[in-house]
Amino acid sequence: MDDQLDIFFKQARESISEPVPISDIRNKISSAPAPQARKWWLRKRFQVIFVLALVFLAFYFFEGYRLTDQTETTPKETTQQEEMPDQEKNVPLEEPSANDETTGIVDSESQEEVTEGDLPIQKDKTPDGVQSAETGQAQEGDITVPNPAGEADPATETALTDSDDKGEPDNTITVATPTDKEPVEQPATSKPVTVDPNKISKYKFELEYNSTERDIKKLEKKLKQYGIKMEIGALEFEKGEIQKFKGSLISVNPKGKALFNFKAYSFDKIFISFQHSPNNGPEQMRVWGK
Amino acid sequence: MPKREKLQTQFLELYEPIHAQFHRYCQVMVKNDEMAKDLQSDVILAAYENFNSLRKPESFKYFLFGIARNMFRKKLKRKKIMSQYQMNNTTPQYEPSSSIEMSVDIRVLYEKLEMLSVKQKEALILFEISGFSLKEIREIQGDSLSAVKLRLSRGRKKLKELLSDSTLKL
Repeated sequence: MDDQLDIFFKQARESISEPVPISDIRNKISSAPAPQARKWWLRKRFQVIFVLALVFLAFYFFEGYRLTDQTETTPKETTQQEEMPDQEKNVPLEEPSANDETTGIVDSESQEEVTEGDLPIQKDKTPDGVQSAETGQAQEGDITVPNPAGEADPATETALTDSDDKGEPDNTITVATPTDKEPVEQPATSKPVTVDPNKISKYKFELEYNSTERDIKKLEKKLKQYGIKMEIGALEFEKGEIQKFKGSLISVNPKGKALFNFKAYSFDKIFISFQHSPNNGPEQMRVWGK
Repeated sequence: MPKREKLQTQFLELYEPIHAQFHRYCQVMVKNDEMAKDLQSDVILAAYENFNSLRKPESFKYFLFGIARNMFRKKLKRKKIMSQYQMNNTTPQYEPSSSIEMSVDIRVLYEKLEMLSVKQKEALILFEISGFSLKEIREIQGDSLSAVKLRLSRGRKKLKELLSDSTLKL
């Protein structure tokens, strides 16, 4: 096919007619108007910058003058403000009364409510079991999370999703209090899950120059699983090829950022690599093109 | 020597070595002999009028081909608008060549070239048809040498695929 392509190009070269004689072009140029003088755009630009700087300085001094005027006119207000804390200090502190017990209960309840509200988030935040099941990185001798089927630990408050009597799973979340001893339904195959929180796994993803937007979205989702957010600043395609790909990888915990900026024809493949451990999250993020 | 004449000779000194190559480029871009000549003369006049804005003589090729590229795009846009009213004139007019078979091949090649990205197409035309070297293409396109090489190899690869598809269909 290479030869055939060369033949096609050769034919194309041969089919092209003779160019216009250079004397014609000379005549055209001599009859054309003289080249325009170079525009002093730089000088104009400097003028604009100078005017802007003057306006800025004027505004700066005006603001400074206004502020000094204000401070001179408001000394009384400040003294009143200073007196206020002294008055507050004179108010005797209330002794704890019998009602405090009730208030204490209310407080503890409200705390419970807060923790209850927070629990589902905590549940979401612990992907260890899921990760270990997915990646199969469970090892013996590590932290074990016993979760026998049909037993719920009454001491610990666990958030359970309501997939229940009606048979319809809905998104409302109830909290198993110590009095509610509903058995937690676990799959029969569930075993004690072991996760090494310090185990570091290396990950590497790659994108090709002709990857689609969908591929990038898929990668974005994958990275999200490891706590990495891909922020895309610019993404341009032309005829199925990436022309511009600019953005950053951001990890919230630990805080980290890896910037990248790829232009067309500067790469064949884009590689994204990082280390991940359940304890420390994503680390050493790198993005490079080859 | 007056200033105007000096500028003319300077311009021609820079233009003459690439005259034939530039003509080929224009012809492949517009695919019609007459239109190519029009484009060429328009570009040369525009380049001469703005010759004073050229700071370095080494970047003359980039300057000239840049003007050609922009002018071609403008003409294409205008043609698209016109074609909305004159549907019959939208088909490109190809140069009648010596044999029918040859013209068909060239037509297929040009059609497939249109399917490439603008820069790939331009790089291929400059290299394969105009006969510029890689270094000169780098000067014209204003990228790195590796980018030009990559562009050419990818363009050829894609063109091969497209041509093989078309031969299979035939």
